[in-house]
Parts: sequence; C-alpha cells; structure tokens
Amino acid sequence: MSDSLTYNSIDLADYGFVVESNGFALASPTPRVNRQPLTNRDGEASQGVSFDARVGTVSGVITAANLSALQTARRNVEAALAAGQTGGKALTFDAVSGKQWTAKVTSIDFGSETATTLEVAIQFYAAQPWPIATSETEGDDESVSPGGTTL
Amino acid sequence: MNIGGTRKTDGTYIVKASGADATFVQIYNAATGETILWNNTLSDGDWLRLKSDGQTAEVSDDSGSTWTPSNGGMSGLVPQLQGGIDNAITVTGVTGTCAVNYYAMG
Repeated sequence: MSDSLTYNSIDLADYGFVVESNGFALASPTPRVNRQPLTNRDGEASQGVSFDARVGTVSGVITAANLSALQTARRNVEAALAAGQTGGKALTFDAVSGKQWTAKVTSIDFGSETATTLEVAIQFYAAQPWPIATSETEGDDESVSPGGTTL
Repeated sequence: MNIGGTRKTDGTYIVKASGADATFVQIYNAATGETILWNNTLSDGDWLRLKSDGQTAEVSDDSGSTWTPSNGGMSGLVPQLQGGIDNAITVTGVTGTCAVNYYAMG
C-alpha cells in the first residue's frame, strides 16, 4: 500500500498520487471557549470548550509514465475530488489507519510539473474535526429485563 | 460499557423483544444524562433500532432485514456515547436483548 489517500471511496493511489505531507490530519483544530458577558456583573460566564472545524492541506505528487498519462491522471484526480461538491465525503489516509473524516475539498493547486510528475496541494475542510473509526463496533446481544438492566 | 476513542459519538441500539411484547422501552446513558422513551409496543420477536444520529426509531419484524420507521411516541434523546469513560446504559421495559453499535470517534 502506498502512502496515498482515499476520497469518496476512490483511492488516489490508482492515479499515481502519493502524499508527501499531511497538513490536514496533523492540523490541530482551534479550541474555542464559549464565553458570555454578564450584564452588570464582573467577569463572564463560560460553558466549556468547543473546537473549530479542521482545515488543512495535503501535499503530494502525481507520478505517471509520460506526459499524456500524467494529464490523464490529473483529470482523474480532479474528478475524484469534485465529488465534494455535493457534500462532505469520506476521507481516509493510508498513513492514518482506522480513522475517517467527512470532508470537502476547498482548493486544489497544481505546482511544479515535469514530464512524469506533478505536484498537488489539496485543501480539505471537515466541519466535524474529529475522525470516526473506519469500522463500526458491533456490541454483543446482552440480556435485558423490564425492570431495568445496565449494560 | 467502555468504547474506544476520546470523543462523544453516536450510538445505535438494537433491542430485540423475546418472550413477551415490550412497551415503554427506555434507554438511559448515565455518562451523557440522555434518555429516550419509546412509547409504543414492540411485539414479541420484533426488533427496535434507535439511532442517536438523526434521532430515529425503526422496527423490524424480519430479524433486521427490513426496517420500518417508528418515530411516533418518542420522547427525550437517543443517547450518544462518551469515549474514554464508562457508559452505564440502562435498558428498561423489555424482555430480550440489547446490543449497542458505534463508530468510535477521536
């Protein structure tokens, strides 16, 4: 398995994309103290800490056998990432096992290009900053009775 | 029950009535303080699926192959699950079994 990413069930490794730096998974969502000024009283009320959305850029490179194949791979990557137009899609990274975000693509920037390589920077936005497990944990059936059973 | 992860996540509760009809099925999670009361009758042998994601209730009479929405008679909140600590989940009003499914978060 290469160090790539899968977006909307499409593995970008299929198009020769390899992640070089992951500024999305490693981004630290900004904590936000929920504060409320108080009328005619000193200080303020607070209700714990929330976290902002996760926004970060994944940088990598597309590698192909020749320029024609590289252009095809670029179009395929763009098409795969365009799925986010209809809402957040599942995003996983080979290097971050067992975790999944629901993310939208907010920018795609193509950088230096050679005959066989093309640098790509993809910015993702996840409204829910914390990932969920990629697989559901299924609990066992535990006996319960009408009077009440604590699992 | 302990779940993985560190954050609050959604839970899916599958209650299976066995041996008698069930009424007023209630699920309470002491860790989150949330309680759902499903004020309907779950026939013996039928399954009830409650999801905190979307706050939905569904009933199946074919062992989970098909589900029919049954949101009427719900009051309260289908509890979420808190990662990293014990979730004491109390199920009342039914003879049978209950399973809790979830995706750990964080």
